[in-house]
Amino acid sequence: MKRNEAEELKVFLTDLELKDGESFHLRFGPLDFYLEKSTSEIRVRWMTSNDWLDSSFHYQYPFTGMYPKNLLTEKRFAYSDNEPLLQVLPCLGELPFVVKPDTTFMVLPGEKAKIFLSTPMSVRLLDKHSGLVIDEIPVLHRVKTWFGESPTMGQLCYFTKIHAALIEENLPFRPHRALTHLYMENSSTEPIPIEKLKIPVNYLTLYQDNRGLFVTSSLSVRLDKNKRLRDLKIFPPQDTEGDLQVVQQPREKIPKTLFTSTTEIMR
Amino acid sequence: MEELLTALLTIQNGFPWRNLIIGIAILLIGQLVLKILDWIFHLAIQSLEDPRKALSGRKIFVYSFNFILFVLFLNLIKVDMKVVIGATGLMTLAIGFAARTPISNLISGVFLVFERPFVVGNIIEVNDFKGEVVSRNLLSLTLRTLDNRMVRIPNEIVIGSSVSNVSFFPIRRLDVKYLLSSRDSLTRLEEIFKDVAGRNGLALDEPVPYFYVSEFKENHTEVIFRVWSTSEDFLTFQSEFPKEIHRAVKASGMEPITHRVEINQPIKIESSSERP
Repeated sequence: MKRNEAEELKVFLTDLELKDGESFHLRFGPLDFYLEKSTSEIRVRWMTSNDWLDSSFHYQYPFTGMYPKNLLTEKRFAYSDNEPLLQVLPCLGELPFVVKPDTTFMVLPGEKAKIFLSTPMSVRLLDKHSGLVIDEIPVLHRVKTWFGESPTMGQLCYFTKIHAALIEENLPFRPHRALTHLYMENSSTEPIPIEKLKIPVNYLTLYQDNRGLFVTSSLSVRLDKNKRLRDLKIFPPQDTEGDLQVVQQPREKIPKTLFTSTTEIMR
Repeated sequence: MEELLTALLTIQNGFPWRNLIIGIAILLIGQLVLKILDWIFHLAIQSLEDPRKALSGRKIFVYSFNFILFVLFLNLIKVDMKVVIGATGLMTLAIGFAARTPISNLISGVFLVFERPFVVGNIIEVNDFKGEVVSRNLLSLTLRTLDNRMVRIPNEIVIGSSVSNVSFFPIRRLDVKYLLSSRDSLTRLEEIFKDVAGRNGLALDEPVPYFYVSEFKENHTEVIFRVWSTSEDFLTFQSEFPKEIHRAVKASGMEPITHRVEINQPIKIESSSERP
């Protein structure tokens, strides 16, 4: 899928009115996701490859093909009286993501940089009637990591490699990743290398813009002359095309002091 | 005791029967109110992430409520509270001698509530017992050991022992000790260890796994590989990771050392024609 075909991603905001015996298939990057509804039961099947560069996107509804059953992980959900109105939506993870740009880059002293990052997403199955989240499947196989100064000070996070760019067009388009704008101001007298960065996705809102692209809340970071973290702000994305539609509210309320030291967010 | 008997006789002479009935009614209504409050409390704690954590608070509330009801009842039937308090003082002294251990446990329990070295759900090690904290009461602590036994440990023992809480930090380190034959390559072994850790889904990439030689011996080298995992997955990791290491080392052609004795000098056995 290419960036100019992102309009297709708007299909996520439509309801899946599956009848008994009907299925739905979604290919979302490395994730193959199948949904089957039968009397009083929903079956979710999926598999994911480790190809983090996979940018495929297609769906079939109702799905008429064959399942590669032996390769799929399966979960079954039962219901009785209240037939759910199913919806499949992308969402952000429950733990922060530590992202490692494919190439380390520096923010020069006294400069401001706007960095475009691609944030990994999951697929969420929910009942639109009740708002109940039935299940969440990560698009990529996630690996946990520890991000902190020491084994006693830090936080468990997920880890992934990402592309980072200073111009949006230079960021390879992946439909299963949301665009995050990071504004960084370096008020110190030395260049600041960014090797690893923690994106607190649990505090971010996920939006879809007019083009169909998924965008998260933006982050801004200011480092003072001693390279100490001065301000970290989370705010709705700017410079986006048209109105933004909220796809997912933040999982957690943003605390008054989100991060207090530079090492809590970057290395 | 004489004072208590006098008080009881006073009660008998001018017994306030009306107040007694009101008192019993208050006790019954109190119990009903307590049931309703308990039910509301039960519903409220269901929304907590771990409802078991609130159970100690519930017990304190129930005991306090019953105590207040009892004092109210005594007051209504016109029992002289000064006498009761005096008699209670004496009884407390007597009971104190008889119940030194429970009281000691109770006080230790209060200290544990404030100190909070662990919470319900943590996996801890006290003396020789290791298990999950199922409940933390005023007198004792209940552990479910990893082989599924229920162990009650008096608070007095907990406060006087070293407690190791293995769930306190979100990550834990596994140290894998390995004996390498002097004929095999250390560098190759380090590569194998790091490769296995990189492929294992439960091993964390940060803090970075660390490989070092702990001792050079005559026929082998002792190495230690330090690798981290989440506390949540640690038991699985602890069980699976050494097996993966063992398989990878064997696949590489290296032989893990058990207790091998190499005899380098042939022993000459001389036979003697003389017999003792």
